[in-house]
Amino acid sequence: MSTLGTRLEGKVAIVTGASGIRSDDLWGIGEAIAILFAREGASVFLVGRNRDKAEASLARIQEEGGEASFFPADVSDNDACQRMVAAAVKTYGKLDIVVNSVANAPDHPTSVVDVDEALWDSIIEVSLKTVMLTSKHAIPEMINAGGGSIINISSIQGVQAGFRASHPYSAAKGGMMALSKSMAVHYGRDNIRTNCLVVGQVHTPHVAVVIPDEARQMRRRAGPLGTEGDAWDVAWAAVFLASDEARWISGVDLPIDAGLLVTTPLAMYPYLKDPE
Amino acid sequence: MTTQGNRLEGKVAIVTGAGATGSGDFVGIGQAISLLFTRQGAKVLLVDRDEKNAEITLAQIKEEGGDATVFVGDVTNIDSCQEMSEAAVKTYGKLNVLINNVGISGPGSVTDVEEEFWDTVIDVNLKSVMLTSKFAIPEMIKDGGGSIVNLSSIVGLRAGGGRPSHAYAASKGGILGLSNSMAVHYGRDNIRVNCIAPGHVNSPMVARHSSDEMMDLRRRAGPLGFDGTPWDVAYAILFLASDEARWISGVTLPVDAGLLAATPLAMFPHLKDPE
Repeated sequence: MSTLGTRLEGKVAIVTGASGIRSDDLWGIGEAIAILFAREGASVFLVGRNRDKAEASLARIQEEGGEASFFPADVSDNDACQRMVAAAVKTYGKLDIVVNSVANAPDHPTSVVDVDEALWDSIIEVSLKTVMLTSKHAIPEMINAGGGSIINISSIQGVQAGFRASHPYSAAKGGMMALSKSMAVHYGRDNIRTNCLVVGQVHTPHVAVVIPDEARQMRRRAGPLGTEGDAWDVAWAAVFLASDEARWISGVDLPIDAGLLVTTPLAMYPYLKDPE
Repeated sequence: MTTQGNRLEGKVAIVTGAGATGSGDFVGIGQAISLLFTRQGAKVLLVDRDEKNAEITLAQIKEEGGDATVFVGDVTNIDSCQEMSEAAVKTYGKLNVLINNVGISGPGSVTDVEEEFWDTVIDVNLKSVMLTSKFAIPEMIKDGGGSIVNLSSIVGLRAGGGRPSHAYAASKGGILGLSNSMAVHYGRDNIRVNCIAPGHVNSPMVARHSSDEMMDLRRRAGPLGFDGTPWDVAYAILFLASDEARWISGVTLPVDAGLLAATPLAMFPHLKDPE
C-alpha cells in the first residue's frame, strides 16, 4: 500500500470537502479521493473548513510518501475560492484537477411544501453554487496548464427520488449534472473535461451518524449487487476520470451505485421485503 | 504504452473480436483491449473468426511477455460460444471477465434495409451478447462473480451522422436494455454488467469506410475536438473490468469527447468552418 502509483503523476489536484467527519475506519468521499490521488502520484490540495478534521487524511498521505497540503476555505465564498486556486498554483506550480466534493443535505424530510426558504437557499449554495465558484477560478489556471479535469460528486437523488423527500438536495444534484454537461461542451476546446460521479447508497461517516442499522441494511439490499459500497469505490472512479486514461471522456454521469439506477421498484421488491 | 501493471492480476478474460483490424500501432478496439488487459496481468482468450488476425494480436502480446490464447470461433453460433467458455476455463482454470466487442454495421434505414441484412446485424451485435453470456455467467458464478463489458455505441442512444444504419442502432440500443436487465438479475451473483458507448472513435475499421472529410467532421463534432483512439475505449473497459469498479454495475459509460452532452447547435460553430 505504500508504493506510489503513477496514474496521476505530475498532476496537481484540489479536493474540496476533504475534511469531513470520520468514525472508526470509515472514510469520507473527499478524504478517500485525496488519499488515492496522492497514492497515484498527484500533489493534492485538501480544502475544507476545519484543518483538525483533515489531519487523519494528511497523516495517511504522508505515511504513504505522498504529497499533500491543507488549505482552509469555505468554498461557498467567492474570494475564498479565488485564494484557494491561487494558493494551489503558488504551492505546486499549476492546477490540473478539481474535485467538488462538498455537499449539505437536510437532516429531516424536506419537500417543496414544507421546506424553509433559507434552508433551500443554503443547500443550493453549498451543493451547487460552489461548483460554479471553484470552476470560475480553476478553469483559467487549467487552461494555462493545457487543460484539466473537473469531477463533481453528484448523487442518484439528482436522477431519481430517494426514500424520503430531500427536494433541495435533489435540485442541487440535478443542477450539478446539467451544469457539468454545459461546462464540458463550452470548455471542451480548452481541453477541460467535466464529469459527474453519481453516487448511490454508499456507507460513509455522514450516513453512519444518521442511519440506524436496519436502514443501512435496506440501502444495501436495494442495490442489485447487494453489497455495501464505500468511499473507496467512489474514489477509484475519481482516479480514473482524473487521469489521462479518460482523456476522451467528458460530460458523462458515471453511477457508482451497485446497479441501482437500472432497477425498477418491483425488480428489487423481493430483496427488500424479507431480510436476507 | 507497454507499462506493466497488476490491475487485472489473477483474472481470466474473454475478448471477442480480438483479432487485428489495423496495422502497427494503429490497432483496433479488440486488439487494444487485449493488449491492455495482458499488460495489467490478465490471461486472455482472444476470440475471432479470423485466425490470422487473432494470431497477429497474440504475437504482439507475446512480444510484450503477456499471456493469451487464440480461440477461433463464431459468436453467432451457440456451440461455438459454449466451446469458447469451456476453452477459457480449460486453458486458464476459470473465467472472470467477458468483453463483447464484436460488431458490424452497414447502411440501411427501416424503409430500405434488406430483411436478411437486418437479421445478420442483430445476430452479430446483439444475439451474440446473449450467447456468450449464457455460457460465461455460470462459470463466473463458480468463481464468485465476474464483470461483463458490452460495446454499445452513442448510436444506441441517439441518431448518428452520415448514412443511417437502423439495424446497427437497434442492435446497440438492444445491448443497453439487455445489459441493464442482466445487471439487475445477476447482481446477487456478483456479476457486474456495464456498457461502453464509444463516440466517433478513430479506429481502423472506421477509417477504412470514411472519407477524410467525414473523419475531420467526426473529430470536430466532439466538444474536446481531438480524435479518440481504441486505447481510450480500452482504458475505460480496463477500469470497469477491474475490482476498482466492484460497486459499478448497469452503467453506460460514454467515451465520446463530450458528444452526448452537446446539442447540434452547440457544436455548429465548430462544424461549419474548418478548424
